[in-house]
Amino acid sequence: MKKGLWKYLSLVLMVAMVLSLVACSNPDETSESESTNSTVEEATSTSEPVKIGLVAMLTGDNPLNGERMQQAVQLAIDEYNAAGGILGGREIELLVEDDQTLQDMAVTCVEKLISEEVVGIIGPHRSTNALAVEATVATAGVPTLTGGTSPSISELGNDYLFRIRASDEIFASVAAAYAVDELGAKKIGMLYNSDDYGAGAEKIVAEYCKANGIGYVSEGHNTGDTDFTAQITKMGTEGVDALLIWTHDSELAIHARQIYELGLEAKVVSSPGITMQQVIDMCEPEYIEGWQGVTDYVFTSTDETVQEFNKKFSEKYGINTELYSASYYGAALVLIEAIEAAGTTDRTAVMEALKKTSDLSAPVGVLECDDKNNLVHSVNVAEIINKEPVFIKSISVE
Amino acid sequence: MTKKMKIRIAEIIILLIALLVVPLFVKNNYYLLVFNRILINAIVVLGLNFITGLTGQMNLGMAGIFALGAYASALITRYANISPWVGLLLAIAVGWVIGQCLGYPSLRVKGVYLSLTTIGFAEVIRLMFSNLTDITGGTQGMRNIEPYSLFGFKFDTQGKMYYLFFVITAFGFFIAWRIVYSKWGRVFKSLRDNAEAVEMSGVDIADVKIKAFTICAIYGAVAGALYAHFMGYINPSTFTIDMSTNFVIMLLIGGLGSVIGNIFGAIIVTILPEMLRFLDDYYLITFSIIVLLGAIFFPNGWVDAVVRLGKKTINIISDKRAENGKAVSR
Repeated sequence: MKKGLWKYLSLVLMVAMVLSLVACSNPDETSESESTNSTVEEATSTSEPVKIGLVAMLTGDNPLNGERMQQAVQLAIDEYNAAGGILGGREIELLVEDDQTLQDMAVTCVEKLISEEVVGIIGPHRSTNALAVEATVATAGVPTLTGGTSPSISELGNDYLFRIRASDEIFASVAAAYAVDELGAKKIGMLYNSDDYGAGAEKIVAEYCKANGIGYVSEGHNTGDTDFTAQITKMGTEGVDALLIWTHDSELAIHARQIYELGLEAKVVSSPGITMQQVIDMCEPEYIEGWQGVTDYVFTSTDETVQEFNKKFSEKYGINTELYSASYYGAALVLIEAIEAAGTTDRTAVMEALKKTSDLSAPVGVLECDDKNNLVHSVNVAEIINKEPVFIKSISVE
Repeated sequence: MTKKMKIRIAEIIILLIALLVVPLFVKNNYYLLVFNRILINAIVVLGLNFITGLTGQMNLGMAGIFALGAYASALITRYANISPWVGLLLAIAVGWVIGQCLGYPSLRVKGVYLSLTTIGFAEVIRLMFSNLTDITGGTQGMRNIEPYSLFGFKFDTQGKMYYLFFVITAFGFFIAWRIVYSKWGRVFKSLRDNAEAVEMSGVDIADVKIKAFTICAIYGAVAGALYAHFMGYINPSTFTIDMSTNFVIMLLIGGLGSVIGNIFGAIIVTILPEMLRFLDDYYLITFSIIVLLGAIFFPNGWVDAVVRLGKKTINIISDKRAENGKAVSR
C-alpha cells in the first residue's frame, strides 16, 4: 500500500503539473506552429485583436531597460488603438514575455509567443539573445525586430530578423572618427568590456587607428567587475588624450567615478549608455561633466519627431525618453505600419512589407530597410552638461 | 518472476509509453521546448544528487561542468566535422576527467571551502570560453550547432528531440536508480552521515568521493552536450553561477538523495516560473518566495512533503473506517 501510494501520488502530481501547463494558456490552441511558415488564421473576424509579442528583459541585469521597452511599445500601440486600430478597425494586443536576459529563456519566450499566434515579435534586446532565437524565428517564419547591435546579426542572412538600432560597427567608427576629427585626439585609449559588445567595438576602433596612424592602447574588463583603477591608471601613464569607453550601464557609472577620482585628464567618448537617464543618475554631476557619447537617440534633439515623442512619453510615464524607449517605439511603429501595409496578418507578407520600409520617420531617425534588414542608419553625438545629454550632431553613415 | 513484479514492470512500461507519446498530442512547440529543458535539467540534477544529495558536499560548479560538456561536443562536431554522437562520447570522457580533477581537492577541502572551489572552477571555465575567441567564438558564442541524427533521421524539431532526450533521461534515471540502491549508493549516504565511521569500517573514502564526483560530472557533461545540440547556439554568458544555483534549487525541491525527487525537482523548477508568467512583473519574485517557503517548511523536498501528507490523510481515513467498522459490527 505504502509503496503504491508513493507511486500514485507522484504520478498524480506529475500529470497535474503537465495538465496545468497545457491548460494555463491558449484555450483554443491549434497545432500550426509546428509547420514552417505557419500563417495566422486569416478567417478570424474583424473584431479579433492583432497580436504583437514583446520579449523584454523585465528581470535580470537590466530590468529598467526592459520596462522602458514595454512602456514605449505600449504607448505606440495605445496610439494606434485610440485612432481606431489597424486593418479596418482591429485592435492591437500586446503580449509581453520576460527573458531575464538569458538565452534559453529568450528562446522559450519566442516559442511561447509564436504558439500564441503573434504576427510579429519585438525584441529580444541583447545581441546574444537575438543570435539564440535567430534559428527559431526563421523556422517559424515570424518577423522579429531586435535591438541587438552586434555586427554578426547582419551577417546571418535571416530574412525574418530585422534590426532597429544601428550596428556597433557604425557606433564605434563614428566614435573613433569623432574623437580624432572633432576632438583632435592624437592618441586614443580604449576601455572595453571583453564581451561581444565591447570586444566588437574594440576591433573596429583598433583598425580605425591603425589605418589613420593614430596612437592606440586598449584594456579590457568583464561584466560585473567593480574595480577599473588598474586600467584607468594605465591610460594615464600612456598619456592618451581621448578615452573611448565601451561597456554596459553599471560598469560605465563605476568608470565615471574612478576616472574622476584618479584625475585622468582626457576627453571621453563613451558607448550609448552614458546618455541614459539611469546611468546619469548613478553618477555625481562632476564625474561626467563634458563627457560625450554616441547614441541612437538624444531627447534634447531639436528634431520635431523627437520632441513630439518625448512630450507624449513624459506625459504618460513622467520620465524623459532614452534610447530603449525611442528605439522600441520605432520598432512598434515600423511593425504596425508593415502589418497595415501588408493588409493582412500573414507573417510572410508582413516580413515582405517590413523589407519595403522606407522613409518612415521615427524618434531614432528615418527608418529605411537595407538589404541586410538594418532599419537605422544614423547616429547622434551628445555631450553631458549638468547631468543632461545635450544634442550635438547627427551623423549618417551608409 | 512473481506476479507482483510482473505488475510492476507492466506499470513502468505503460508509464514510459504514456510519456513517449506526449509529442503526438502536444503539438505546441513552446510546451515541447519546456519539456526538453526539463529533461536536460533532470539529467544534471540526477548527477548532482550523487555529490550534493548523497555524499552531502555542496557543488556550486555544475554550470562549469555543463559548459565543458556543451563546448566539448559542439567544438568537436564543428572542427572535426563528425557526428554529434562522438561529441556525446567526448562529453562523457570530459566528464570523467573533470570528476577526477574536481574530486581530488574535495578530499582536502570541506564545507564552504569546497563550495568556493567549485564556484571558482565554474567561473574559470566560463572565462576561459569567453576569452578563447579564436576557438569558441568568445562571447559571440557558437552558432549553427548541428542537431543529432540517427541513420539519416534528424532530431531537428522540438518534438523529435523530445524522443531522444526522453530515452537518454530514462536511461540516466535507470542507472542513477541502480547506483543509489547499490553498495556504492549506501557508501555515499554513509559518507554524508559520518565520514569517520565509514573510514573506520575500512572503506577507502578518497576513492568513494572521487567516484561520486566522477558520476556527477559525467551526468553534467552529458546534459551539457545535449543542451548544445538542443539550442543550436551556445554562449559562455549562459553558464553562470545562477545556473549552478538553479540546479541546486532543483535538487533541494525534489529532496536530497531521492532519485524520483530529482526528476520532480527539475520539473517543478522549470515549469513553475513558466506557469507563473501570468503574474507579469511579479512572477519571479513569487517563484522565489515559493521556493524559499518550501526550503523552510519542507526541508526534505516537496515530494517528501506530499507523500507525508498523503500518508497522513490515508491514516486518518483508515482510522475512521476502522472506527466505523467497529460501530457497524456492534
